Amino acid sequence: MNGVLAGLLAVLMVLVGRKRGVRALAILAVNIFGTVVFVFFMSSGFSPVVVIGLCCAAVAACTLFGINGYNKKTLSAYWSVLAVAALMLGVILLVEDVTAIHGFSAEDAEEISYYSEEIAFSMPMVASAVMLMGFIGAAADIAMSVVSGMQEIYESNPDEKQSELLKKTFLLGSDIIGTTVNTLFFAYLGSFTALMIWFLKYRYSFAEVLNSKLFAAEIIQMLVSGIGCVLILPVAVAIHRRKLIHIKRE
Amino acid sequence: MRQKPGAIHLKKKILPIAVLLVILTAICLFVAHDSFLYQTPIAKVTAVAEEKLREVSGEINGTETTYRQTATAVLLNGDSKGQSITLPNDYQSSEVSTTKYETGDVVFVRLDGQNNTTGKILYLKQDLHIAVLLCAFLLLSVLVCGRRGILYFAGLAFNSACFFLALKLYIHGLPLVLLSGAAVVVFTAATILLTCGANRQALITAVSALATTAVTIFLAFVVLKITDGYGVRFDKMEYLSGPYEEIFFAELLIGSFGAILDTCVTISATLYQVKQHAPGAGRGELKKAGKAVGMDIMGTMSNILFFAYITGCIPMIVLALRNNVTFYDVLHNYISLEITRSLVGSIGIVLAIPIAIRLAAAWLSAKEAAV
Repeated sequence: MNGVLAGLLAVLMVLVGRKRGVRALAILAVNIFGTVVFVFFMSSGFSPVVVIGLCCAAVAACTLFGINGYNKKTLSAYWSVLAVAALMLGVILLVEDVTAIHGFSAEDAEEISYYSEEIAFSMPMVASAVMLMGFIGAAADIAMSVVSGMQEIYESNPDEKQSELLKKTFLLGSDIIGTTVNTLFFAYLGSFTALMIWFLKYRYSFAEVLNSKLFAAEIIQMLVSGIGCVLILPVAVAIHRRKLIHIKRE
Repeated sequence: MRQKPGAIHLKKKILPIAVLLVILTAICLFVAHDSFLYQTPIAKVTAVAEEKLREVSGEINGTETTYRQTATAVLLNGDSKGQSITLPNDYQSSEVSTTKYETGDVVFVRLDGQNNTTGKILYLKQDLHIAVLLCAFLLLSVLVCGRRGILYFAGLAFNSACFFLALKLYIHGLPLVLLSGAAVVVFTAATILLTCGANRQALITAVSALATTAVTIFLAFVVLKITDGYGVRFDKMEYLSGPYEEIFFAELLIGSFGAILDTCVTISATLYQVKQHAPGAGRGELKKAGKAVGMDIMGTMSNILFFAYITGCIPMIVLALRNNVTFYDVLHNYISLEITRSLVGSIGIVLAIPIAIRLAAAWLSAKEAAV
């Protein structure tokens, strides 16, 4: 079934996007394949945070430079993604430490019953790495859109006051964040459906749902991704603004 | 002139933000002291003593250590409020399904013994964590995006409530297909009304998003029927409590919809702007502008979905791989579903581009012909 869907996607991408469609398709394939390889590699006994951190940096580079080419704009976007990812890694480690949303919960007991739990591999670290990975795609998307938007606004009127440029960029950036956070929100909500039905069917009380590890893990992942997406805007603006000033001086 | 980014929103809006900060702090403080609302006993861990029980070698490599904790805690609610209790807890260093508790953790407990002086830790109290992160997200959205931040946040809250309501109705016996379809229509209306307002552009965006979603789900359904779901382990869907096909399609519908809506909003907004800047732009020019934007977002958008989905199955992949399950079995059992989700979502994104362009271009040039 996935083979047919992948074929369908490939045909559509090429039909709609022609050359750029082929490119987008190739990047998606490389990202999927690369991520699976990184995850398998990590599982043989390497630090999840380090391996997934590297994976995210590689994915962001592949997405940004691969799709939009290597230039000043993509470089700004890339640095913003790395800066926010580093910042968010700190936040994520703290959040994981306090909320302990790692590993499996009582509801998973049946599914993991075939396996030994003595795996000598830190689930808290896996959970942190996973939270980082959840928003890296969105971060790259927002950073790229904000930086190209800012460049466009600047080029349309290079002599405009700095404050006007910033104001317009923030307005545009807010729209980009709004729609992208929406995308993430519905993606998470979609995969959340079966779990919510489970909660309702087995008559969990509101208090039980709110405090269950499964629900908390989903919501916290969603909120951490949201916070990361919002942070990208000021960081990308700050980084690309310095380049624009540089261009102006030249 | 060296304004900090974000300063624009801050300068004029110190007062509203201060008010918001006070409200959010009050909410968090309330949740921090809400133990009296719960029936289940809640205790705050004040000290933890720990001893090593045993050490075994891991399934593949490394060592797994089991520890026994003896936590001392104070009850925060119930008749014995303020009483000190002892809570034993075993955990393994990998923490696959066990948890290491620390001083300061607030936990739900089950009391046993006659004097309620011992008990068992059930799970951590998460409501405060969720409240703090929610407030942080809201505050940050307002700081960075200004008034729009509140609008977007309201949209998310409203949509979550609708989602919950739809599932409630499903439990009461209404068909899920109908409910998720209706939910998507409400999501579209709410999101677009809140962000674009009620106008023709909003209508065009909504129609193209709904049409694309319908086509995408129909295609996915046809593929499922033709291949009979070959190679996708629907039985590995987590927390399944009903027919997989129905629930999986509801998940696909909602999951793909966000990305489709995003694509449609971006494209129709661009075409609208082009038309405003150059009122003479014909259908061909509009289509060209739409295509340029479509190409830009197609690649990055499909990546968003993949990374949002893949994260859900990584802990399971790690557990299986560390149990010497073969690569093939792991790929087949635990990744195939997430791949299906991201493929269907990506198909939706790609389909949204021509559909949104055609509808918007047709409407924008038809309006001109009518004048």
